[in-house]
Amino acid sequence: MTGTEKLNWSGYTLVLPSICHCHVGQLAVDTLINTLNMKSVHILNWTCVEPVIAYDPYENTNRENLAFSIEVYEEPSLKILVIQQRGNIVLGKRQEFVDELLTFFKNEQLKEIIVLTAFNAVERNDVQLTGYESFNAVERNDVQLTGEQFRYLSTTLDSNNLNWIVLEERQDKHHHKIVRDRDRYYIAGGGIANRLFYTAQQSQIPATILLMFTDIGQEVQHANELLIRLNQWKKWCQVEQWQMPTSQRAWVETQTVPPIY
Amino acid sequence: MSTLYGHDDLASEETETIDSDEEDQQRSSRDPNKLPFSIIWRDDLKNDDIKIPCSSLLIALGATASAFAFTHVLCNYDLELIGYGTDEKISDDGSTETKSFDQIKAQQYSTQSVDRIYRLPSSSFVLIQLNSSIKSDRIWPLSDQILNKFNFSNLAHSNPIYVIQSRLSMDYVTIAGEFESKANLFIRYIKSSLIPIDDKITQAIKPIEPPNAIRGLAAALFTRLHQANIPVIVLVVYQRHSSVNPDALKLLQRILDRTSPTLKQYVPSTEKTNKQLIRLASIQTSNMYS
Repeated sequence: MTGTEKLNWSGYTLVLPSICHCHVGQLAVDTLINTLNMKSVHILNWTCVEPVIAYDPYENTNRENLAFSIEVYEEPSLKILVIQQRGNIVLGKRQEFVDELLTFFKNEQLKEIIVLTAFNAVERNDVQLTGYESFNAVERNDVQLTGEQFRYLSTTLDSNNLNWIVLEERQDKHHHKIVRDRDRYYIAGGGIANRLFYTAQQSQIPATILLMFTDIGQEVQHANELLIRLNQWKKWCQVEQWQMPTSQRAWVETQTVPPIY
Repeated sequence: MSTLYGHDDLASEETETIDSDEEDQQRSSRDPNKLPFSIIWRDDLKNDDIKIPCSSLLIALGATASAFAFTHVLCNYDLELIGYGTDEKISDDGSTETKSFDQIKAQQYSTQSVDRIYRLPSSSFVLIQLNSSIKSDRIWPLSDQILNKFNFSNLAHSNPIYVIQSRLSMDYVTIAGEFESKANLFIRYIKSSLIPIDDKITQAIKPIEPPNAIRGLAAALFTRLHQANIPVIVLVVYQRHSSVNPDALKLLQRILDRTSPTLKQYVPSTEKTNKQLIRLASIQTSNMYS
């Protein structure tokens, strides 16, 4: 870790995106950083992440501030650390990335990891497509267009009071559950979320994955939804509206992924 | 077992493993006939303890920047070759001939991209030309290999390192969602915070606006230099096509002439016409088959 001042992040919650389908995680994290006006405190020198440089995309910041491939933002009053990742993971180094992240977690004595990601909506199964309430309605030809599109996975969270749906376990073509732990869950287009969750589980590190079933055109809406759910759980702040950085408006207007992701 | 479409095995009944480590290994697997791309230094400079003094550094990445380096620097000065990039493997039977540095420098119709490091003997000016496509897992090691070889202690904040490259203008996005003024050719910069905000570069051209970003070797070099508190500017020429554009070369020369008092002397303006520049540039960037 570089820097002249040793920062104490013991007990902080770590939030980070998985580079995923439609870049929903990264957009959600940018919106979180922008809304809470978080400051960059550290650049991670992980060579398993491809290099990126840009000018800071956030509001209310010095226009000369730089943004790097992977860096840490801090909100000390809420004890939140956010890692924003802009560079892709170098080919063949996904496990190295996960190992680096978990080493960082242990070294800084953080409290838990929360990953924001997306699941390619095209890969949903029937229940994920139509929802549990209407699942039996198929037989009656009374099907909703879509059911709840939010899911979670957690090593610690019991979401009964949140009414969240846990991500369904994967099944083989005979509709039997997969026995191998590593392949119990399938997060299509979810980046390293599945691998990170499995490795964290093996290492007994508290980890939670929050994901949305997302398709092209739903990025901004679903990034917002992820933050609403996160705040519903953590109750970090009273936010009427999450503020997407102005620089991401290009996404909305052109429907193309901004080059910073 | 035979099927309607020929003899083949049935697909395994086992469920496919996803996101496996084997898949990761396949993704990172390398051509067995190639080495990881790296810089070969001249024999007298090979020793790791030797640091090459550098008071001015110009790094040209990609075809257009490489062509600029050739037409405006190499054609006007007799620089010595001190290193070159390669991934060639010397076969065990010695059938691959190792070229001498003089042979490599003399090569004009190269059959592979030009990746060379030059120095002007009379000064500490260094020119780096890198044209090859670099695999993602080589970007960080290569940038470290290059920068660790130089001694930048004589580099002043008023004399930053310049990295030049080009990109397609259609990739540049503005906040309003429109492509930059529908222009075919424009230039943007990103600079380290060591360089004052009222520097000549900020008065000459606009910065790269969010959400645009720079990736690849330029980003790696910038990051390392920034972390080492060494001033650096990346200039990106955005042009309509990826082919070498003589107007882009002239634009680069004008900007460097205006913003860098130190590099200005090494990149004189040229009376050559666009046609001559294209011909010159094609010498540098062509191979036997194009």
